[in-house]
Amino acid sequence: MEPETSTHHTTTGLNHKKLLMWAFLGSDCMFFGSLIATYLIYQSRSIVGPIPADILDIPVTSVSTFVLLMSSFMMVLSYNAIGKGDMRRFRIWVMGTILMGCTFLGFQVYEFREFALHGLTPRTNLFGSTFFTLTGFHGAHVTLGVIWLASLFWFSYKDPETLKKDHGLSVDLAALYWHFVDIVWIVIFTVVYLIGGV
Amino acid sequence: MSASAGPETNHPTPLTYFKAAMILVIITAIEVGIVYISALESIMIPLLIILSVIKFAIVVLFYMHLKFDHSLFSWMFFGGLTVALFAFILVLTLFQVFSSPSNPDVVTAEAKHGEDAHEEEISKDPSAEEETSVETVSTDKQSTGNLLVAKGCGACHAVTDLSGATGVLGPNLDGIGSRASSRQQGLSAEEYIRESIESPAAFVVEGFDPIMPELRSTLTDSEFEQLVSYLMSLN
Repeated sequence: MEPETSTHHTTTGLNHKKLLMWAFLGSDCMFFGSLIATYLIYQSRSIVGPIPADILDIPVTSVSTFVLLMSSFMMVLSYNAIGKGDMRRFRIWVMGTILMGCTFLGFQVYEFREFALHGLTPRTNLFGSTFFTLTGFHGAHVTLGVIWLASLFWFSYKDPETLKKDHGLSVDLAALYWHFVDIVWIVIFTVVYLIGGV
Repeated sequence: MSASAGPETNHPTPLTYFKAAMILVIITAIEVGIVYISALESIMIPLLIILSVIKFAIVVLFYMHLKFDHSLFSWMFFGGLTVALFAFILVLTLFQVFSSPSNPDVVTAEAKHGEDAHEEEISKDPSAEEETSVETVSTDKQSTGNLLVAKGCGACHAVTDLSGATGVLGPNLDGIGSRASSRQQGLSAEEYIRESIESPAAFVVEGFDPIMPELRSTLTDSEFEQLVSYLMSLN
């Protein structure tokens, strides 16, 4: 039985949990779309500095972007492993994803701290308000994702059969969320740092 | 784990995922490189958008399995994405993000220099603890013009021949000294200018947004008088 088909009868023949996750991700596109739009509108309307070109560090953020991309790769390998019932590989790759996610969060904490030390806080100007709101919410999403993955790692020891159920549906759902967080960062990195930060 | 109907035929292998990962890394490296190549400046934005869309598609279609899953999932996701994009473009158009000229940051380098110089004056006088800055008493026109820039006015208002006053968010101040007398019946030019600074929302020029901040409290009385005199001199 495929993970997206339901063990219970549904009108669509698809698993409702997976359908709900995709609906949620579609709505989350609207959420981040509004934050990115607000950032773009106010980006060049600050009346005091610092401005993006003064403070954004593209080389450092490129490294954190690479880290997040690699975490997505590890996540998909962990899902591949659980589909084959390989718990050992699943644990390796999901732990790798967790560590990469934590590394990314470490970069974010470092960046926020550096910005604050250089005079940019959410209260400084419009750029600060919109930047910290946008990247802060993204960081919150990553944090929740890390906690979710950590719970899966714990469950792989406590109740591995549940994780393997339905070809790893539980892991599939977490993986979808994690990849979505990655693609949001792809957009943020391009819009905020590459286009707006030079 | 793959297509919802029929036997698995297109299930990605770990090698496929690895190739996708390498493509994502290479595209990211290209994106970063593009930013630093001045020859590509004119096409930088569309190029970056295209590359980002490619990365977005690779993750969604392969890592998130949308290419191999039931089409209803695609409808769910791309339906939301389409609504988001539509609203995104609509809002940006409403706020003239596309139609306004290349928006240099309102805080221009000159304005920042003026502000930095002003802050240096404050730091040299530790006794000046109140929020309003140290007075910069000056009488000549160039100095009061610099005051206008230092206080951030030039970030939103433009004045010809005044370096650092290039803002476009507020009305151009050329000729304000004579124009102000006809703006509000019963108010002289000086009264109009004073009230415009003290109560920014009092007289909003048509075609501009009511976004001028209250900056009177950031000025000493002497600075305020200098600014008013300067603006009156712009005939």
